[in-house]
Amino acid sequence: MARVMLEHVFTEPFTDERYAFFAKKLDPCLEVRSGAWRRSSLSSDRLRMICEFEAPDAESVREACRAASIPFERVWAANVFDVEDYPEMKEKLTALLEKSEKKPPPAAT
Amino acid sequence: MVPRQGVGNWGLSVHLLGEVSLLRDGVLLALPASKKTRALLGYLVATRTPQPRQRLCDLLWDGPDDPRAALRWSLTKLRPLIDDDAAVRLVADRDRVGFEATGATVDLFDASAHVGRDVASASTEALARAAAALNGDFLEGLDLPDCYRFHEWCTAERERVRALRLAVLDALVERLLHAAPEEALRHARQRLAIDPLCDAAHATAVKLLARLGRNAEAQAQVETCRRILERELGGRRSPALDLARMEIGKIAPVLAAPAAPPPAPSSAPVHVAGRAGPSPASTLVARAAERAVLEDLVRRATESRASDVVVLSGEPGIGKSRLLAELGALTRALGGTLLAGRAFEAEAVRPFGIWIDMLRGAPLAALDGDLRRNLAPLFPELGQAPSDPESKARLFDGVARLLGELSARAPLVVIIDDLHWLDEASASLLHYVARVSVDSRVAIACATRNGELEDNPAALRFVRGLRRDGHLLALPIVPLGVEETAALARAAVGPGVDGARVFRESAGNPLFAIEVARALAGGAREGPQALAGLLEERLARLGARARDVVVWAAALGREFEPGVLAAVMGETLAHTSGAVGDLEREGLIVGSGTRYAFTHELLRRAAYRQLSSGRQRLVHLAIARALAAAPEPGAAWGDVVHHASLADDPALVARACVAAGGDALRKLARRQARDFAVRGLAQTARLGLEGLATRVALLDVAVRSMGQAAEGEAAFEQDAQDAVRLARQIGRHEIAAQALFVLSFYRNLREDFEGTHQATLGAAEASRAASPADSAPVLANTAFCLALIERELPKARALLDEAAEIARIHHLPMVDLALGDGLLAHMEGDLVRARAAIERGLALARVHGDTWRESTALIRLAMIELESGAWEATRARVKELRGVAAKLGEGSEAAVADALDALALQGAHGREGAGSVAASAEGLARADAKAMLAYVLTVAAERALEDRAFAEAAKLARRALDAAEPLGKPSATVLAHAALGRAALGAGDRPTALFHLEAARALIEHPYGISKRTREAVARLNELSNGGTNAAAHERELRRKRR
Repeated sequence: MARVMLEHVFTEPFTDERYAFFAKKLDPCLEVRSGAWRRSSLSSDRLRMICEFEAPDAESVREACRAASIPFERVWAANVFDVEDYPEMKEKLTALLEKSEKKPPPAAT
Repeated sequence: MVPRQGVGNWGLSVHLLGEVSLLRDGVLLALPASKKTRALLGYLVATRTPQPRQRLCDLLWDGPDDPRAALRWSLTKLRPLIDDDAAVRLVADRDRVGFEATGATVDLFDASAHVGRDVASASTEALARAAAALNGDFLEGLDLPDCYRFHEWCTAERERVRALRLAVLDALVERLLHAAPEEALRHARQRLAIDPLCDAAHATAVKLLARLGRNAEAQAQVETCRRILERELGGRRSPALDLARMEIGKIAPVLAAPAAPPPAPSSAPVHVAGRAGPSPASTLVARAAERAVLEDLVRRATESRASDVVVLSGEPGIGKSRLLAELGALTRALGGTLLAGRAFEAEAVRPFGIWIDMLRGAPLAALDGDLRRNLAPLFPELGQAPSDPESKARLFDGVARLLGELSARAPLVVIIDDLHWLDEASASLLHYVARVSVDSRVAIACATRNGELEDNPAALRFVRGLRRDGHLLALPIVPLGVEETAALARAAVGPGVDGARVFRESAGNPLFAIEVARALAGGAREGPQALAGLLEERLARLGARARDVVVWAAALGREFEPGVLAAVMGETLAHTSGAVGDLEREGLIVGSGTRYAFTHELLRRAAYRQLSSGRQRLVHLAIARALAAAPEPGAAWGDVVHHASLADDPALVARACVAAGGDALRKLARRQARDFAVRGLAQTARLGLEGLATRVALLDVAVRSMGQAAEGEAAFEQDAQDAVRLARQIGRHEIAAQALFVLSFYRNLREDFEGTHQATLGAAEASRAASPADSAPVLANTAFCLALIERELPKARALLDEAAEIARIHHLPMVDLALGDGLLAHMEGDLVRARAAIERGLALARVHGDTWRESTALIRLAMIELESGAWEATRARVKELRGVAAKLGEGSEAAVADALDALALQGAHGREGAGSVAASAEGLARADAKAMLAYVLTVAAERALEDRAFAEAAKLARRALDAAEPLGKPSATVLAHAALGRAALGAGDRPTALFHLEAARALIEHPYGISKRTREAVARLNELSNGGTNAAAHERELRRKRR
C-alpha cells in the first residue's frame, strides 16, 4: 500500500458541510479500489487542503476522484518521514509540547 | 484586473449606479461573487454614516447561522478593495461599521452634487453632468428578496434615484428643445428608456424628430407608442401623442442647423508603417468628414495607438452600414485584417453568436494548447469546454490574445453592425476587448440605430461603459444635404435625375433617396411617396415565384442560407435556387452561394409585411419545426426559440429554451442561459401538467446558471417542490426524481448540505419507483465501474445485459453501456466486439464532453490494437490520447500514452525499442499508476520471452508482479506469475516455474473474474511445464510475426 496525497485549491472558503459532502461522494469509490482516508489538513483561510490516503497507488485515488467527479489539483504517492522514526527528534518535540502546555493561559481582557 | 493606460479616474472610484463596481486608477476591480457582500458595500457607501453591526446583520444575514461571522467575512473581503495607502475607508470597531469616502469618488454623490439644491436652479451644464452620472439604476441587478429589510431600503433608494433621473432629463429636454434639439432628443430617448409607458415622453420625442426633419422616425415613434399603449394600457388614447403626430411634416426641419461636426481626426503626426502614400480612392458619395474619422481609426491601429471605439448612430437607411463597408475597404487597402459581423434580431438570444461567426475564419487549428482550451466554449472542435469558475475569464482573455495574434503583423479592425441587437454575452466580451485594446493594433467600430440601443440593456451598458472609461467616439450620421443627395441620386441612376426633387422627397436619407431616384427613373410619379411604399413597389415587380420565396426568406431573418430556406419551405434546394437567383438579380439580396443577406433591413421588413399576421405565425411555426428537426441544431436552438415565439407555440418555445439554455451554459453564458430558463418557464405555465417534464428541465437549466450566487431564490425552491408534488400526484416518478436532483443541486449551491442530503435520498427513492428507462443508466454505470476495476465480472455482465435490453426498447444511447460492454468484451477476449463497443462509447463520451471517459476509451482501444499486433493503429490512438491528456492536465494519461507508444514502436521495430519501453515504464512509476505499469512490464516480459531473453524477462515480470499485487486485480497478478514461470523454465529452473504455476492456478478461479488472455497465459505455462510442443510452436509463430 502507498501513502497518497491529494491536493485541493478552493476559490471560496471550504466549509465543514462541504467537506462532509465531498467525503460522502468519494469514500465509496475509494473503498472499491482498496483505498481509505487517513487525514486531511485544511489551511487557516480554508482555501487549500491536503488529504492523505492509504491506497494501492496514486492512480487508484485519481480514478476514484474522477469517478466521483471530485476536482483536484494533483495526486502523488509519498514517502513519509515521521518523527516517530527519529528518536532524537521525537525527544525534542516532546519537550517542546510539554513546555507549551505548562505556560499559563493569557490574562482575560 | 484589466491593465489599462491612459486617461481615467485616478484613486478609488465607487459606482452605485448600474451594477455596483469599484475602480482603482481606472482599473476595474474584481468584486467578491457573494451578492450579500456586494449589497453590504452598496449599503455602507450609500448611507454614509456608521451603522451598528447588529443592524447590518439583521439587514442581510437574518437567520440561524452565525450572522456576525458572515459580516466579518464580508468585511474581510471588502477591506483590501476599499482601503489603500491613501486612506482607510472601511472604518469598523466592535459596534459599528462605516464607509468614509476619503479621497474616493462616488458616482451617486457626484450626480447629486451636480444637481445641487434642486433641479430647477441647477445650470444646464450641471444637469448634463448629472444626467451622464445618473446612467443606471441604483445597485442594478442586486436583488435580495429574501432579505426583506435590505429589499425595502434598496427599492426606496431606487425610486428616489429614478425620480431624480427623470427630473434631470425632463429639465434638460425642456431647456434644449429649441437650442439643441439633437442633444434634447438623446435625453428624451434616455427618459423613454426609463419610463416607456409615459405617452408625454413619446410625444416629446416625436416633436423633436419632426423638428430635425426625421419624419420617418417620428412616424415610427408614434406607432411604437400606440403599440405600447394598446398592449400595456388597454389601448388608451393619448391626446399629447395625437397633437405631436399632427406636427410631423409641419415643423420646419432644422437640417440647416449644424449638428455637432464629426470629431476631427487626431492632429498628432501619423506615420504609416509599411505602406506609404495617400488613402485609397473611394466610391463613397459625400461623407468626407466621417470617412476621415474612419481613416484615422485605421491609421492609429497601424501605429499601435488604437484608442476610442467609434460608434456610428443614425436613422435607418442613413448609411451606417455603407460607412462600415468603407472602413472595411480602407482596412484592406492599408494591408490590415478585417473581422466584420452583424447582430440580428433573431440572434439576440444566441450567446457569443457574432464572435463565433467572426472568428470562425481564424486559423484556430494552429493555436497553442492553452489558447485552444480557453476558446473551447465557443468552438467545440477545439476540445471539451471547461466549466470551472475561472473559465469565462480565460475565454475572454483567450479571445483578446487571439485578436492580438491576428494583429501581430497588420492592424486588425473589428466591425460590429446593428449593435442594438447584440446579445449579452457578446456585449460583455466586446467591452472587455475594447478595454484591453487601448494602445494596440486592434481597432473597433460599431453601428447602431437611433432609439433602439436603449431597448438592449447589454448593448447600452457597453456604450455607457465606453463613455465612462473615456473611450467612446460617438459619430452621429446625419441626413445628406441637397447637393450630396443629388450626387448620390446621379450615381445611382444617371445624370438625368431631378436631384432637388429626390432631396425633397427623401429629406436626405440615402436609402430613401436611391429608391426615389429609381422610381423617378422608372417613370414619372405624381406626389411623394413614403419609403415603405417604394420598397413595396419594388417587391411587387417580382415574379410570383420570387415573391413567394422572398417572404419566407424575410421570415427567416436578415441573413439566410439557401439550404435552410429550401428545407423550411419543404422544397429541394434546386427548386428554390432559381428564385434566390432572381432576388439577387433584382438587388434585393447579396451574398455567396451559401449565404445571402437582404441588402437592407427595411427591405426585409417590407417583404415580411406582405404576410398577414395569421400567415406570419404559420410561416414561423414551419421554420421553428424545420430547425428543431435538424440533426444537431446546436446554437440554432436560439433561432427555434425566436421563431416558435413568433408562432406562439408555447410547447415548442419551452422545449427549445431547454436546449438553448444548455447551449448557453456550455458557452459559459450564464445570464443568457438563465434568460432562456425564465422565458421557457413562463411558457410552461400555459401547458399545465403536459409541460411538467419540460418545466423540470428548465429548472435544471436555471439552477446551473446560478453559479455561486444562489442567493435569494426562494421562488426557485418553491417551484421545484411544486414540481415534485405534482409529479408524484400523477405517478411520474422519474420526473419527481429529476426535480429532486435539481433541488439537491440548488441546495448544494446554497451550501444547505442537510437539505441536499434529503433531496438526494428522495431522488434515489424516486428513482427506484421510476420507469425502467431511468434505471438503465444507473445499471450501466455500475456495470462500467465493476468492469473498470475488474471486480465481480459476472455480475457486471448481468447488469449490462439488463441495461442493454432496456436501452434497446427505449432507444437510449448510454456511454457507460457501450464502454462497459467493450471492457467486458476485452476481458472475454473478443477484441472485435470490444473495439466496436468502445468506439461507440468514445463517440458518446465526446458528445457529452466527458474527457475522463474519452481518455479511458482511448487507452483501452490502444491496448486492443496493441494486442492485435496493429502497431500503426495503436500509435494513432495514442496520438488522440495525448490530446485528451493535455485537456485533463494532472494525471497519468500522458505517461500511459508514452508507454503504449513505446510498446507499439518496439512491436514494429523489434529489440531496438526496448530502451524507450524501459524509460516509459519509469514515467508510469513516477505517476504511480501501478495497473498500467504492470500491464506494460508484462507485455515487455512476454516479448523478451519470445526472444528467449529469459533473464531480462524475469526482471521485467518480477517488477510487474510487485506493481500488480497491491491492486487486488487478479488478472494482472496471474499474468506476472505466468511470465515469471516461463522465464524460469527458459532458464532451466523447473521448481521455480512450478511455484509460479501454482500461484497462478490459485488465483485463476478468483470470484472477481479473470481475463481470457490471462487464462491462455496460464494454459501456455502449464503446457510448457509438461514439455508440450504446442506452446513452443505458438511462441515460434509469435516471433515470426514480429520480424
